[in-house]
Amino acid sequence: MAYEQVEVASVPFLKFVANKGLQDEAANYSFVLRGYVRHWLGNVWAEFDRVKLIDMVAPEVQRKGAARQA
Amino acid sequence: MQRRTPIFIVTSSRPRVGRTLIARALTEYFCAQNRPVAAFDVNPDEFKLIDHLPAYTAAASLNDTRGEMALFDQLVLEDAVPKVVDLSHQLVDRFFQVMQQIDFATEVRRRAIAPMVLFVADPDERSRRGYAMLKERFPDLPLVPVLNEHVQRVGAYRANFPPTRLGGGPISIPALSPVVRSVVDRRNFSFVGYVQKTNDRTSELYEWMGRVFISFRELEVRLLLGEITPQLRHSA
Repeated sequence: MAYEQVEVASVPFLKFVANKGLQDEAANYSFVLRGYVRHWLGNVWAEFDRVKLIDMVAPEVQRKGAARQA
Repeated sequence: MQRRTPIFIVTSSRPRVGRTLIARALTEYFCAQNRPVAAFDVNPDEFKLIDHLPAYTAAASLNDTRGEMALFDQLVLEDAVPKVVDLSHQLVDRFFQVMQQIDFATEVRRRAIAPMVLFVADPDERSRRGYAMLKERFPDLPLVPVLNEHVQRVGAYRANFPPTRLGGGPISIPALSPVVRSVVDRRNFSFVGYVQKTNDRTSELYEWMGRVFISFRELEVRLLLGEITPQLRHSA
């Protein structure tokens, strides 16, 4: 149901969580649904971090970033 | 300073400990002061609070997301209307699981809302474990043990329900005699209605209400102290 509402709102997940519309205007999404989306996003990102997704898809970018910081 | 909107979640780990009676009395405590109040009856099988106070109570369910929205979206409203939730022992785990998943604690801190859990104690081991679980999982939630003297031997188990940092020590609810209890349990009985009709201020029920309402007043003071204590620390 939360996913359905994000679809209906036609906004990125983060804007939905922040209770904002496409142009950053204040929206009125359900607090419960925003909470579920935030919870789900947290789990998804934790899984991305666990499998080191960034390293997989952009090792070159990672290396350059590390070199710049050094 | 704007007062925060209080939410009182009345719950227990066991049935028949007087939870709904306390939720009823608390709802009518606000009515007696001509303050607005919204109550929620969260019971899976039978709705009792709504039977007694239909004008102030909404039935709520945690069976699906729609039901959760109907309840929690109301609870996070900063409308200065005190909320009373009569939460069945069967739904305690689900309620607090949802609360944790949607990060209710962060939202109420961000908004001007002050939740407080009133845990009606009883001697059963499940009750001790339930209280300990809430205390451990929600250290930032004011948790107050309620010792209902109607529950046999509950005083002897007071040590199972130690005071909490934000909620403080237990409050006691005096027992009602069986005759008075049978009157109070009638569907059309109202505490406020009784006070308006009676002239006898020495009656058992009148005295019971006096003691219980003073305890509720104390809970409001605890919430108020929770609001101002950080500011006092800051100014010291």
